[in-house]
Amino acid sequence: MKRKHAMSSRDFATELVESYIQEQGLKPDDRLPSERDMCSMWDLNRTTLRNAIQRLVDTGVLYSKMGSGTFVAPPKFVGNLQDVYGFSESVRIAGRTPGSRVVFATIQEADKSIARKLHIPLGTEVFAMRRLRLIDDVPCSIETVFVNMERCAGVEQRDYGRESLFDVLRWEYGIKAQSGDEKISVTTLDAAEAELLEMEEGHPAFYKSGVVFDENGEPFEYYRTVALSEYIRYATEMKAR
Amino acid sequence: MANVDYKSPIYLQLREVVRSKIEEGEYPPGMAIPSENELSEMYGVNRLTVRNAVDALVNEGLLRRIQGKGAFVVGDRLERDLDSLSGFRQTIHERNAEPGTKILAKTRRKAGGKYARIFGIGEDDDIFYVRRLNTANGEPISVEHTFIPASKVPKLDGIDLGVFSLYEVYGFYGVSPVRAYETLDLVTLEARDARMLGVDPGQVVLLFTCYTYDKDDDVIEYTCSYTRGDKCSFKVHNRA
Repeated sequence: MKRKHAMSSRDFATELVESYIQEQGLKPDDRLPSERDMCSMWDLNRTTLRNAIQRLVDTGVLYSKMGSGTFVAPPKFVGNLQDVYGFSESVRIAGRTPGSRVVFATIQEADKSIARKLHIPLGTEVFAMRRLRLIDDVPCSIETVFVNMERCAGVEQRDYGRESLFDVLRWEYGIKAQSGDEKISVTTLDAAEAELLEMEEGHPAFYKSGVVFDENGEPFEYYRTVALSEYIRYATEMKAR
Repeated sequence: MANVDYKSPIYLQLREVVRSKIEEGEYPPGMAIPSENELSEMYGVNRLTVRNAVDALVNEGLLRRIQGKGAFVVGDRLERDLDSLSGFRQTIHERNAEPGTKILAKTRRKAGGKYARIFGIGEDDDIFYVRRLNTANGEPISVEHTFIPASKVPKLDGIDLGVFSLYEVYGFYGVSPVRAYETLDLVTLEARDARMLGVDPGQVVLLFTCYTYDKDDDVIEYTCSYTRGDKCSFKVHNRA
């Protein structure tokens, strides 16, 4: 393998595999040649190729199945961080099937961090709900929301396994999400999260938290989301004004 | 300048000579002008005179002086700054962290299949590859791999990216980013990259992949940055 370009051999091998997928017009779930064939096709050593494949698995281009090889992955769901659609709506727009399972839905008193985010006094009642989110039946994220109930009494009585909280707030209570501030970082799954997401404890994931504001700039929802990077990629767009 | 003639002080005359060479492109943006010694020899003036002439142009913002490297021509600035608009905003956890950038590599290479498709150019067309290490208080924060089609910034070969940022170079060559699309994944690092970022092999980092477009909707830059999640987090503002 020629080590030109000052690039790592892994990066170079990654390029070769990506080009191959494009040139051959491979589709999701199509199988790549065996490691041995790819190594001899491009004159790569095994370790370099494996590193390249791992990188492409991480970025959602490929997936590996024990014993049967490496396949082209179906595209990750791309969550646009700049829109304020609910989860279900965004997934549907992407042409995928959203699913939700309510883990808990209850009324609780706001602790310090929730009270601060929602601009309410400590101990104010909030609607707290945790849902497991699925895309095409695959568990992808765990979303915990805290909603200021002052303007939406009775919001806890709906079935959010079927209904969208976003829609209920919008159409039943006239609370429309207008803007939001979101923070994103890396976390590892704890035991409970790992079980819900069918992953191992300690597995890395996105951690996303934020506040949603209505048209008057009042915060009405605070959320914390743990999401698997295997299935979800976040995106933003920048434009010159 | 009209009010400089043969009776004017020599340093003013020399200042105008250098200015016109910059304006006429003999000294192109991003490049160093001849050294003080060279100028002093070329025009038969002493070094203090050269220094005064160059200082005047540095003060005007036409040149940028870098200790030990020389004086470099500053080209036109971009009016718009994509960074300040929207998208991911990085927050370094440590307060008052002093940012730094180190150029690890800068080379010209063939596009190859992947980049030919991204930039809409031929596989044998040239692209530039730049690898940068971003630091805060000297500690590694991210490694950025940037790819640029050579046709957009043909002179990048000769430009010292320790002197000018890529963004400044785009301004010099009339390349104006109008839109960028950035995605975020989590990836594991293998030993070599992990060492560069100062983390353990196998540690997960944030991978930002950014496509930057000009007004013709050509991709002018493709960047992958591997960023430590333990050192910074990212904020996004959204709006209906």
